[in-house]
Amino acid sequence: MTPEEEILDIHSEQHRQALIISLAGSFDALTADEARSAIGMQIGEGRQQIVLDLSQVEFMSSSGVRVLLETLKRVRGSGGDLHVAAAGSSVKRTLEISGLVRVLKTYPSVSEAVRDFAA
Amino acid sequence: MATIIAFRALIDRACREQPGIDPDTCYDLKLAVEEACTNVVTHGYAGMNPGSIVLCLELEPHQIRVTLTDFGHAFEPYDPGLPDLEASLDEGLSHGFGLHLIYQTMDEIHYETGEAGNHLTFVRRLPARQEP
Repeated sequence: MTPEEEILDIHSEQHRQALIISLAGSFDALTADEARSAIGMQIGEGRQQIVLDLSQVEFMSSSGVRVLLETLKRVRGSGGDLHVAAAGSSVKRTLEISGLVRVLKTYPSVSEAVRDFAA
Repeated sequence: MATIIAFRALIDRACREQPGIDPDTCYDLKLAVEEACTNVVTHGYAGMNPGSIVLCLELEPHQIRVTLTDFGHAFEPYDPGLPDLEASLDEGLSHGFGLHLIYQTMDEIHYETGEAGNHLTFVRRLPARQEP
């Protein structure tokens, strides 16, 4: 893969009442619009309990942070929530530096993030 | 924007080749370069034909110095501080958030502008290494 071909893979899967959206690749200025569109489509179809699996994201910039904040606003506005799961050490760093960890719920694993919706 | 990805790859390679650069430092350098370049593309070259961004990476024993040169509109950087993210949920994230991340991750930031372009330099100091 050449640098110009960078992509963000997005995969979604319904698990009980939560929709798990898994991202893989770089979540940055080049890919944020793609993620925004894919997540927005799911919310538009009425899914309000979303688990975002970031285990395969190796880089996240402020463009990714903006998408997370926008998603959080939309789902909480309709009574749902966003759980961010399995962020690796690099992505955790962006979440911490940006202060995002203070406004959204983070979990060490996808299963824990899903389970907390059922609690 | 593809240039930014190439810059990140270059920083990755440099960090691998230079002993004493930990993964967090490498990640922070890539993050700062990404945010600075995004600002140049979005604001510096706004209303103009897209121009060049030149990256100069200097690996020194005690610090890493990155200089980004562009030929767009000059923009003196500043730290807008951490936005109120709770308020951002209602009002949207304010501009300058990327700049805040640069100030959070780099130890020094300098800016010069002139006929030879706009030069944004940031420095990340490295922890002192134990002599054997």
